[in-house]
Amino acid sequence: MPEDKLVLRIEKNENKNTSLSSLNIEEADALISLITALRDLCNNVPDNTNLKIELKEGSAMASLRGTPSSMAPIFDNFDEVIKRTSRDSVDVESWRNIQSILQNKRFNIEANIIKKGVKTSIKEKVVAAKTFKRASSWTKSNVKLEFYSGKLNEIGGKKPNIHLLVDDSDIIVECSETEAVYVSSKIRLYETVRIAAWTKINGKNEVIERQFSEVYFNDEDFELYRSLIISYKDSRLPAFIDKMYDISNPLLDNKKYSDFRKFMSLFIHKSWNLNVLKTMLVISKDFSNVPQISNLRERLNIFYLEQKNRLKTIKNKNKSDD
Amino acid sequence: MTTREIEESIIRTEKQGTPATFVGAAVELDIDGDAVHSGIVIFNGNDYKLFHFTGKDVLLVESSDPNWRNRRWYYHKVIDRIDEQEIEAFLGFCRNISKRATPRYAFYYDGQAKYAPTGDYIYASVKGEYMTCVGFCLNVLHSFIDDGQYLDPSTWPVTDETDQPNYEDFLSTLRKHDVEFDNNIIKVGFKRISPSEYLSSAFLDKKPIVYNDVKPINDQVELVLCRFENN
Repeated sequence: MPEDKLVLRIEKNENKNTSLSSLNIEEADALISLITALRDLCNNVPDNTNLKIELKEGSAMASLRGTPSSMAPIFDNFDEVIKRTSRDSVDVESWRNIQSILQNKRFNIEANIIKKGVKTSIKEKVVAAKTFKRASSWTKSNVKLEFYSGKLNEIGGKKPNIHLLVDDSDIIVECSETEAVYVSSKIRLYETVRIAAWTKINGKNEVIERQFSEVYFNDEDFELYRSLIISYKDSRLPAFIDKMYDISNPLLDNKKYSDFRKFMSLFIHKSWNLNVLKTMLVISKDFSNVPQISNLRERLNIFYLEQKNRLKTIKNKNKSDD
Repeated sequence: MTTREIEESIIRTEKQGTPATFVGAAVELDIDGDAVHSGIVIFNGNDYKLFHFTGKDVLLVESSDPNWRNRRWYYHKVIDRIDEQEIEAFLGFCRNISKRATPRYAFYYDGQAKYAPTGDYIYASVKGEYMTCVGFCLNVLHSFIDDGQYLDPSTWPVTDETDQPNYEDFLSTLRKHDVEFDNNIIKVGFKRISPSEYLSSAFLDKKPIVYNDVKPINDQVELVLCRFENN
């Protein structure tokens, strides 16, 4: 599997080519700041054992690279910084430092993200953005899993999304190309489409974004999962965990792996309680080799480790405050 | 590890002075301070529960439950590798197993079998849930803890309880229950891991746990347990 990368390359300084083997002080300072930022970003994700920082000649290049699943949190955190929804001071500060170097007109620096071998420049949006800041608490976005059922109005596009007509209003759900292709292979235009989407709401209760989670092909599944998720906020954690087993036991008993996958995909999100994530890991443990499940379980594990790490940090901080 | 350190880590299973959250390997002592039964204790804030196989039933009992016999004779050691923040997930797992498990008592632990997330027993060698109270605890822990075997019973010696005549008895029980088995495979699993060895395993974080690591700790643990009851 090719590695995903975040590549920062100092090409020129004052129109003179930069070379890793002969840096002047200004270039060395810039490179040190970039490496420091990459190190801090790397250090700020729970599982960085598969991440490497690479320095290379050919101008002066510093990159962070690793397996797609280990790079995913780095890219996710970057998206939050760009959208100004990140509350993480390390991520925001590291990206602000990268931003200030990219904005320095004396340098000519390339900044690219490479995912699955496809290179995308992030320079323009980082340079154009206002100085990165942490989201203040009142704008803290709130993410909820919402269920939408409506007429499929439009699907695909350059930035892939799904448009549903729900009670005359146009609901837009962002998705990946694969997801768009999958949904459109199953549901024709103007037919009913049932979708679960992670919905981000700002402090003023406005929807900022909806991100595709799952699609359902019948009302029973849609209602089952909708009522399960609605019950989460009203039930105590133990009762909710019992419900998870009640749903998964018969699916696994009868080897209904693709149905189980639909159930499992509801839990692939960092906003879940640690015990819910762990329960899902335990439930899916013996099935990590089943093709429909293995990939999903890996992603689940990343969110689990992230959450665990975050809670540990908070706990240690509280301890040292005592 | 010094005997003193071991002594300080083995705690009487009772309400703690302050709220506590952890999972512990627990044993029940008899009047001589010998560990005669085992279970898993789960402390969750102000209260605690015992999850165990009585030899007949699988029970998840509250500390106030009259079904928990000899409650004041229980001692435990915290199992560090279960994170206190995951206590609700562990309890949920126990509740699901208690709904479905139907073990039968025998000196059998092959280290391969475990409780599936569905609460069903998954076996590699013997078709049927044969285990001791210790085997039950080990099976549960093995299923909850991340990948890898919790304890390797093949490193355990044959004892009086698992010698040839007793093994023959076990085989005839299996035949009586119409259980299919492969003689060569299950011979390896006809082992008894004692309750105090189970308690001792909680002092180790290497996995799988092997007999040679448990032995020196267990020698001290047994001494410590005797002292508890003599006090």
